[in-house]
This record gives sequence, structure tokens and C-alpha cells, in this order.
Amino acid sequence: MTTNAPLELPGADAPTEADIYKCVHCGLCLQACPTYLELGLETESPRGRVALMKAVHGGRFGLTEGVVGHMELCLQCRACETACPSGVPFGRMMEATRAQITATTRRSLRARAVRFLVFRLLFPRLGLLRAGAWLLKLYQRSGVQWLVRELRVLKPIKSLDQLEQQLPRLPKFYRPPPSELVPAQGQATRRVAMLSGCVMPLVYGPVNEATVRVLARNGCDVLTPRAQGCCGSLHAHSGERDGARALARRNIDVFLETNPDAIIVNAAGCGATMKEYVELLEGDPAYRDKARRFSALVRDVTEFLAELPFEPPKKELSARVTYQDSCHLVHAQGIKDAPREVLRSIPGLRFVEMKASDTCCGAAGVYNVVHRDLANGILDQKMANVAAAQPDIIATANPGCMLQLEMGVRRMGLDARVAHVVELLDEAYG
Amino acid sequence: MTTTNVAQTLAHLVGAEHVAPDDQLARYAVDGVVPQTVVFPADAGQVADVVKLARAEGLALLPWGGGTAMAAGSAPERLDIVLGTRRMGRILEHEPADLVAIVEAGITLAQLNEALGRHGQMLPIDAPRSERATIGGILAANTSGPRRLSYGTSRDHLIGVRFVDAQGELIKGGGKVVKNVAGYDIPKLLVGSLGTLGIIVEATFKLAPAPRASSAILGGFRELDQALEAAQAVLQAGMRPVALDLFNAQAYQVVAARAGVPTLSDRRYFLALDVGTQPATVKRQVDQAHRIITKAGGKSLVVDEGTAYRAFWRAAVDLGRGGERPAPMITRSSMLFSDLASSIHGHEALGESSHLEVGVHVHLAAGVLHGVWWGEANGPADEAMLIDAVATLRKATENLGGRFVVESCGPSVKRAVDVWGPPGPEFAIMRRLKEQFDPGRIFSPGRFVGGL
Amino acid sequence: MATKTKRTSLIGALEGIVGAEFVLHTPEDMVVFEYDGSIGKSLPQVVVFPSTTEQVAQIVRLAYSVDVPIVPRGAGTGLSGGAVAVKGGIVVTLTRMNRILEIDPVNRQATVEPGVINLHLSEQAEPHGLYYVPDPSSQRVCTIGGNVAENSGGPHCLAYGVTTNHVLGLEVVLPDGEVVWLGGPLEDMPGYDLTGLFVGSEGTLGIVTKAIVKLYPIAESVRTLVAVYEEIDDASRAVSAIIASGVIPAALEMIDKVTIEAVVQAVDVEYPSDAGAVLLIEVDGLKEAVEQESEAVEAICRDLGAREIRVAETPEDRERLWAARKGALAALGRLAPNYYILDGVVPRSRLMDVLRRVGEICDRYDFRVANVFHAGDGNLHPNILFDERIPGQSERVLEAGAEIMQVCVEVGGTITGEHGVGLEKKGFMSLVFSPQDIAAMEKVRDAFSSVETFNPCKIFSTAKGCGEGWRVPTLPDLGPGSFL
Repeated sequence: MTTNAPLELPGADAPTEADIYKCVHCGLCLQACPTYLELGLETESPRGRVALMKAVHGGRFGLTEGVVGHMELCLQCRACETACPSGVPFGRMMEATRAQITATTRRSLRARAVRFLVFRLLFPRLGLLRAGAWLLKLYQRSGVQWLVRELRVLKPIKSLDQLEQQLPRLPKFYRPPPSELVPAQGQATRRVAMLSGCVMPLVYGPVNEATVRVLARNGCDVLTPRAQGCCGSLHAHSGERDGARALARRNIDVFLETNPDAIIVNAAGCGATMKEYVELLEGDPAYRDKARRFSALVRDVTEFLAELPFEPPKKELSARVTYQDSCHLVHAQGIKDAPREVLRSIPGLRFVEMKASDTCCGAAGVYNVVHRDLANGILDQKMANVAAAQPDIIATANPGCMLQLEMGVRRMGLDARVAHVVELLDEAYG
Repeated sequence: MTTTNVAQTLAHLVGAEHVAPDDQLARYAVDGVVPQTVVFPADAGQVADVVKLARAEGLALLPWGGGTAMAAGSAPERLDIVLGTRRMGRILEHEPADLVAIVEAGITLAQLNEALGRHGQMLPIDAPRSERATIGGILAANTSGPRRLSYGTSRDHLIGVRFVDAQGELIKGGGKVVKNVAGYDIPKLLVGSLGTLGIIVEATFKLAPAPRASSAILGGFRELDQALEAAQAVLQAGMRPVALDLFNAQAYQVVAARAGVPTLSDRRYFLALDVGTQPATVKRQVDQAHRIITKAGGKSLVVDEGTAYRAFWRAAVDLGRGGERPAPMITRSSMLFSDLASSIHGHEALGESSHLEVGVHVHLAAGVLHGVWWGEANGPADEAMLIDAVATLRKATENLGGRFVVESCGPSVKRAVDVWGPPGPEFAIMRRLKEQFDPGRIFSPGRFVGGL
Repeated sequence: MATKTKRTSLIGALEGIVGAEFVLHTPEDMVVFEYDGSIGKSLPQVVVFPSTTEQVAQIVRLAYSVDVPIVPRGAGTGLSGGAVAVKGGIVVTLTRMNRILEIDPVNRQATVEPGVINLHLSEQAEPHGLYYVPDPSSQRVCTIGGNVAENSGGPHCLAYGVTTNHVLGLEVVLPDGEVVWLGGPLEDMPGYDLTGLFVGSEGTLGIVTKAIVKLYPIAESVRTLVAVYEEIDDASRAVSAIIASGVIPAALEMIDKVTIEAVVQAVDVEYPSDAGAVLLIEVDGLKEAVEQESEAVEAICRDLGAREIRVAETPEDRERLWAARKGALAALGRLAPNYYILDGVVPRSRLMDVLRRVGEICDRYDFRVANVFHAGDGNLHPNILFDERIPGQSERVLEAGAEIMQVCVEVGGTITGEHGVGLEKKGFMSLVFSPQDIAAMEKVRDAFSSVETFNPCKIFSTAKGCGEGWRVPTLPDLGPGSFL
């Protein structure tokens, strides 16, 4: 599908030569890459994908089906960036490559339909997304789901059947606080604005509620601007850079308007993208400076709490807890210690590291739908490491990861709860 | 060419005084085969001349260093010229700051280590009769001893080599730097090749700093299990012994008597740990070893006076080779550490049933077991018994997945047994190596594995 | 057309051996296998991923029977082009054979498949208090099979030896497809040391399909220190003095100013950016010895002008210092798009002299050079920074490298200490070895096999159709990039 949105900036996104030539093909990224670990093929590795970008850039071949296939298999977890000593900005290069793919290749009718639905209808318009979620909830609660599952009506259509299995059980939706402003408990020392997100309020409403409570508890006036929209990360990751830009501009305007001390995000994927608005809007003279200011204010909630520092909780939470690093927290934002610090502060909590905690769980947006077998392989490996840690609770920092881990828990038949780090802190505040 | 002509030509090449007179030839017999002539070249160039002559005349040539390991290997199928390296005994280069030395093949281990010792350095290879054993011979026979546990063997120290090949060309392998991957590792080819691929004329070694403390702790045990349990504990306790050897009573008594250390005659198995590297660690390791030995039911004994320490290890390395009780046969079994107990018992049981006295000396961590076979009541050994013993031991060792080699024995036993044992499928490559390097079979023919 | 048919049927046959999903052959996919960690590049025609010894043997036999070049490959992190398919043909990638078959703590050895990652072996051995000693900087990703082929070293090989000192036995597929064991689990095997010959043969004698390696007890105590010098000369003198003093540290590494500039950007580590050079020194062993030796080392470092000595206080500090060292090479990518890494070795007493001359040579060619290397072994790694996009630079960097190798040999050293001769250094073998010396090596190769299509044109420049030296290939420039 060629983009029909008006290009507001000159030229299209493409990996720059400077970025491409940062790679010295040393191979140190290989063992960090989940798709390489799963498949053992260098074609599905960061070094291989950079080699392909370089070849396309050098005109050795175009964005052929073969190239596109390898690019689309990338989870964009950016673990390779952490591993890379020479500083290859792989995430940025992959987003640009995906933008190239979007701009130059014609996808199947089905893919175009899905992309239209997701990128044009649902996420830019949160009202529609919410309506969709209501329908899903209705499906689950009305007994239709029970019927569908009992009668196995979807069995013949394997991909749809799997998708149905993956559906999260939707809890009570998050209602933004009646007031845009929840005042700090006691003396307010800071004024923060919170991103409520797209998936989080629908699937994990309680996480947003917990975040607001924890922030208020730590002396923050918490604003949740009503006019905010989707952060645009899904768009950016999927080659819809212009769509992402439009969303970024809206959020920049809305948030900067409130003049906050910090912009708090509890979804690592959103936080990473918002910290990178500055790169996304580099070529936009009207927004370049505003983007810089905006990105400088963005904090993951755990990062923010660790910086405060937060008030240590008193209530005991007797559980064995492991932590799955959300890729976009550890690799894209470089935050590894903060969530652990929060967890370790909780009395009674026994923190246990799992093996390869910073390897992607395979969620990566809709990846687990599009590349089911691979995603399942990655998830199974992840769950084996989780199981070895024998946790009561698996903590993480992103709704996508929570969904994927919950599916993993079901697949493995584990007796473990999946929770956001902030939820546990909130519980320990009592 | 007649024998006389060969001798004359050699005399012309190296000088008549460096060709052995006929009445001394018998001293250079190898497994009973007396050479036609014995020649002592002065340098690599003369070695090359001798080799060219041998090649031209199709004569079999056998290098001879100190003659301490000439009973190793199969009997040579032919032997015309013995090439003695005793005149090639110089240290060519020793830069102490590099911890590297280049020496000629004929220098003895004792001479080399004495010279290195003046700079606080050493070549940590053990060889029996080190005052006679030469570097060339030690490399060719791949001799090793107790300290291989911490220092490794010749293959770990030899970083460069020069040898004369069958064309009489002087070939260099490796170099004089401690890391080197330029081309194939030719030094490894020569180590243990027993003079069958070329004549080693020069060797370059990576050296080690000499230890600044000398101390050994001995443990005497009533049962083998106790000794092995203690050994296992030493390995697991984070200790870093230089050597960890085991002796049975027969072996230990000989060593102790020669070294002048207590014989502890109520004990049957003995552990010996060398813990001497530096003063700071000696006391702690001695204490640790003492606790381990005592806990396993042993009686411990410290040998830390310099002379006694050196005498003990020297007697251990020389066991059965010359000295007071030369043994008519020494065997070597290589196996996993975990299989040693069974093999040690096997050796002793065989000794009892065949009325042969057997000393057992084991480098534990390396899994190398020396059987030192003495005849009954110190009398001449019954050769038939020894021959039977070889068959029994080989079968038992191979059943454990090990390899069994006769390291030395007399000519008549040697004629009756295969000292190397049957080679494996990789022998095809070894055969081709021999064909590539010595197509005319002039170097020690028949002496190596599989009749190479 | 005939070639095309041959290629198609070759691919079909390979698919028959390993299954279609493990045979790659499209032009796009081949681009991903044209390189390793060095500057060499060449496209294979097909890449195959076997999972068993038998499959490897079948593939090798097939290549032999149809006379197609075949090149083994591990993780592709090699630094001499050993895994580059110079003559095209089949690349056999061993990464799927990645099982640790056995760890035997009592006998302190492990049996592994060739695709096992170096670091994974140490991780698996750790619960037994053991580890695998050789630790190339790429140990997080490189494979044991590749290590065996190249006789890899690493910082901690100073005291404990390189790969060849830790390999007991190898199951290999010979170039004609025969499977044979060299050595075995025992330390002493009668016969020629075939294992010793195979290790470091750079994938020219066969393909490793199993390896039995020694494991070593983890030291009870370790101390890591950083000595900071204003001048690289003083650092060099300190290295020679430490070795001469009779202390052999576990590791003794030098990192120069240019490298520090790159490293501090890559890793959160406190190497002072105004230093002329730092020495990263590690002493390990029994705690009493570590105390004594590290004091001795510190004293030498101070005597020779260290302006500061820092000691790693926690395991995390130590880890950071090593992460910085091990990532240093690749971090140079922050300073230039390409580097040509040299691997010369010199006698340790000649370090200062040689480093000066390396600097002079690079100045003359107008290249920046970054030195980060195993100083205690005298194993230099001058990394010449360049940009392949600038016409002429690729050629000139090889010329500068040649001069540096010449210097190493002049002072009694050699052209490669741990990376291998591979492609670009084979023209320099004659600096070190006479034609007769090289002929002896070729006899070794011929004893293993005479198959000329097996990993051709590596190490020796005498094989036909390979050319004397080796040049950096210029890839076809097809005009403007095809990204929009």
C-alpha cells in the first residue's frame, strides 16, 4: 500500500549511510537477537539485517520479497543496540526500513485491510478502539466466546483460532479520574502529566489506577490530559512514520500545554517512542525544538520513582518475584536497575533473577499474530527460563509484555501471576 | 656404499674424532640392534649433511640424545647410523625479559635449567635422569612427569622448533613469541614423534618463573579409596598444587629410601602434593592438605627442606630408571581420573598373581599410571610373565577406555609384544604424515606406532 | 545454463540432506554470508545448516564429488576471513550443532558440538566450579568450533594458554567426507599429535563436529586493576617489567588513548579519556598469592610512572572493566566505518620500540591507529581506522598493515598470534617462513587430504587459481541506492 497520507516533510524515511556504516560486522549482536537465537540463521540477525540494508542502500538489489521477509521477522526489541559496542542505532534503522517497505511495496489486500484498520482507524481514534474493546468484552461475557470455544467453530481457520486463544480476558476498563488532576497526598513537590495509553486502559486499567495512586503518594500532582492520543509507537515500528509524526505532534502540543515537571509513562514501548520524538521530528522545523523539550521530560514510571527517590513501602508482600525486562525499557531506554530497585524495596518480596531476563518474550506488538510459530518458539524459551526461576509473580513494565507473559503462563500451565511493577508497589503501599 | 665407506664419508663430514670407534658401537645398540656407525655432528648443517648421506644411500638413521629413553618404542626395523646430538648443547638465545629460550637439541635438561635458574626461570618439564636426558630426546619421546598438572607437557612449552627433514633441509616451525598461529603448528608435529619425521636440532621454549618456595606434603593411607578421596578433595578444595601424585607402597618405599624421607611402612598408598610456588601460599596449602589427608584417614608428612624436596621429586621421576633399582619393564596407562582406582587394583592383583613386584606411580589429574615392574624378589624378571602381563594390562586398560603403552622393556620382551598397541582409525593420517615427511623411511623406521 | 543446472541440482541435493528450510541460496541471503568479522568479502552460492555429524559428512562428500568449493563457518566472528567463501561454493554453518553433550566435573572435561557458544560452556560449567579458559573478546557469540579452527586466544590466555592447550580430542569430518576422531578424552594418546595439528588449521584440514575440551577450576580469588599512564611508552615498559619480574598475571592488556576514546562512548566505564594508555591487569589464584602478586604488580606499575592505579572493588566493577575491554574492538566503529585489525606478535621486551614504529607508519599513511591488545603476550592489535568508501583507502590500509607486519617480523616476532593467516595475511607468510618451511606445512595438509576445493585459498598462496596475495574486493557499485 503506498501511503495516501500527504507527506508533510520532504523525502521519505530511509536508513542513513552514516548509520549503516557504523556497523563493523563484528557479530557481537548475534546472541542478543531472539530471532537468531530461535532460528540460528544469520539472515534473521541484526548483523544480517544491516548487511541487507547496506546492500539495498548500495543498489545491489532492491527491497525484494526476500529482503522484506527478513526485515518483517525482526521483533524490534533492540536488544542488539545494548549488545552493540559500535553504537549502531538499529531501532531507528529498522523503523526507517519499514517505512521504505510501506512506501515502496504493495502488500496483500488482507494486510492492507488490517493495516488500515489498525493504523488509520483504531489507534488514531481512541474512541473507536474503545468501542472495539467493548465489543470484545461483550463477546467474552455474553457466552458467545464459551460457545465458540465449545463448538470449536474456529478450528478450521487456524490463525483466527490462535488469535482467539490469545485474546486477553478484559477486566473492568480504566476510567480516567473524574478530574484531569489528582492531587498529591500531602505536600505536592512535583506536577506530572501521565500518558494513559491505548492498550493499557482497556486491558490493564488497574495498572493506570495504581500508577496514579503511587505518584500521588509520592508527592505528585498527577494530570491526565484528556486530549492526549496514541503515542504512535505502533505506527513508527510498522513503517507508518508519518502517521507516527502526526500523533507525536498532537501529544507534544497537549502535554507541553500543561507545563509538567515530567511526563510519566507506564508502558515501556510508548515511553521509548516518546523519548525518540526528537528523532522522529528532526526534519520538522516547526516541531524540532518542542520535540526536544518534550522528550527530555519523558520518564518511565519506574525511572521516575527511582530518581525521586520514592517512599519505601511498608506492607509486606510475601511472594517470590522475577522480572522480565521489557525490551523497550532496557534496550531502547537503557533502564535496567530502576524496576528492580522498586521490587527490592518491597518488604517480604523475594526477588529472583531469571536467566536471560533481557531477551524479548516475543510479544512485539502484533508479531505473535503474524509470525505465530516463531513467536511461540521465543515465548516457550522465555517461559522455560521463567519456570526455572519458580516465581509466584512475574513482574514487567509494559502491557504488551504482560499480555504475552499471561499467554505463556497459560501455555505452560504455570501457577504465577503477571503484574506490572507499579501494581506491586501500589499493593505494598497498602 | 660399504659400511667402511659410510664411516669414512661421515668422518669426512664431521671429523674423524666425532665418529665413534668400532669398539664403542655396541653401546649404541637400540633394542639389541647395533648400528653400523655412530656420528656426532657439530651443528644443524652437519646434521643435514648426515641426513643427505643417509637419504642418498637409503640408510636408516636414528637420533640419540642422552640415551635415556632408547628403550621406548618398537625395535627399529633397520638401524645404520646413530646420530648423537651431544655436541649440540648450546643455549642460543635467552632473553630473561621475554621468558623465552632457544637451545640446541643436545643440551641436557639439567644444564638448561641450571642456566635458567640463574635468572630465576625454568623449563618446567620433568624427565628421568635429567642430567643426561637432552631436550631433543625429551621432545621426541614426549617425556612428562608430576608437574604436568600445573605446567602442562612439552606441547605446551615448545613454541618453536628447527628440524632437518628427510631431504636434508632445515625446516623451521613456530617462532620465538608465545602466541603464534601463522600456519600449521609444526612444533606439535615433532613432539612425541620419536625421531620418525625428522631430526630436531633446535627448540624454542616458553619458560616459567622458578618457584620461590619448595614444599611437598605426603600422605600415607591404609586404603586406596582413602588416598583417592583425599586427592579428589584436594582438587575440589580450590587448592592449586603443582603436582598431585599417588604411589603404592612398593613404589613409595623405593622413592623414599632414595630421597631419605620417612618410609611410613605401615601405610600402603601414598599421596604426594607439591605445593611449592611461593612462600605466601605454602603454609596455607600445607595446612589445607594436612586437614584433608587426616580427614580421609591418612598420616601426613611435610617435606619442605630444599634438598629433601628436590631429592623426593627427583627420585619419583627417576623411579625404575637407572639408580638402585632399574626395572626391566615400565608401562604407562592413560585413562580418565575416575577409572584409576580400578586400574591400580588391577596392576596390584596382576603383580600378586604373576609374582612380579609392581610399583605404581600415578599422575592423578592427568590420569597417567606408570607401572614399574620388578622381577620376583629382586631377581631377574621372568620374561614370559612380563609378556603375559602386557596382554592382560592392555586388555584391562582398553576395557576402561584407556590406552596402554610399554614405555621401556628389554629386547626380548619387545620382540614378543606390540609396545604401542593397535592404532585407531586415525592411523591412516599418521601413516600419510610419515609418507609425506619420510617417504624413504630413513628416520627410525619401525620404531613408532603401527610400525611407522 | 549448464552452471545453472548444476547449481539447482546441488541445492536440491543439499535440501535432501538437511531439509529445504536449512538451505539458503537467494542472492539476498548470500549477502548475509559474504563476510566475517574481518575486511574480507566474497559471496557463496549456497549456505547449508547441518545438525548432525552425518549431515556434515554427507555435505562434504557431496561437495567433493561435484568439485565445488566448501567453507566451514561458525558464528562468523573470525578476523582473518577464514569463513569467507573466496571461491564461492558452499558455506557450511555449524551454528545449529550447539549442544553441550557432557560436562564431566570429576575428570574436568566437556564434550561439545562445534556450534556451542564459548561463553555458554563456561556458564554451564560454573555450577561445578569450573570454566573453559580461552576467552576471545567475542566469547559471547563465537563458537568452540571456530575457536578450534583458529586456535583462538583471549585476554586470559597469558597465564593459562590458548585453545590448543585446552583441547583433548576432536571428531572431525575430513575434506573427503570421512569421519574420524583425533585424540580423545585422554591426555596421553600414542601417535602423532593430530589434535595439535588440527587446532589452528583455520578450517583447512576438516570440519570439527565434536570437541572434548578441558575445564579449569575457577580461581578462589581475583584482583583486577587499571594502571593509568600519561605516555604509552611507560605503559609498555611496565608490561616488560612485570613479565621480567616473574609474575605471570592472568591477564595483562593495554588500551591506548584512541581506543579509550571509543570505549567510553560504548560502555559506562571509568577509563580516563586524557590518559596516554591504560593497562588492565588481572591476577588470580590462591588469595594469598593474589595479594602478594597484585602488590608486586602495583609497585612495578608505580615505579614506571603510573599516574594512578584503580582496583576493581566489586564483581560489577570488574565486569564493567572487562566488558569495555572486550567491546573495545567493535567500539572503534564509533570512530570510523572500517578498521583493519592486525595481530602481530613481538617479543615482550620489544613492545615499546614496536609500538612507536607502528605509530610512525600510520602517521606516514595518514591513518589513525587504535591499539588494544594482549600486552603480556606481546600480541599487538593495531587497528588501522579507515573508510572503504574513500577511493584508495582499502588498498593503502593493506600496505600500512604490511609494513607493520614487517616490523613485527624484524624484531623476531610473527604476523599473527591468534586471528589466523586466512586471506589477507597469506602473502606475508614468506616474511616468516622459507619455501621449505611452507612446504612442510603443505605436507601436513596433504596428509589430511588432497581435496583442493576444501576451504581453498586460505593460509597458503601457492594453491593454483588463488593468487599470491589478497586484495579487498571492490563490490559492484550499481549507482544510487535503491532506498527512496
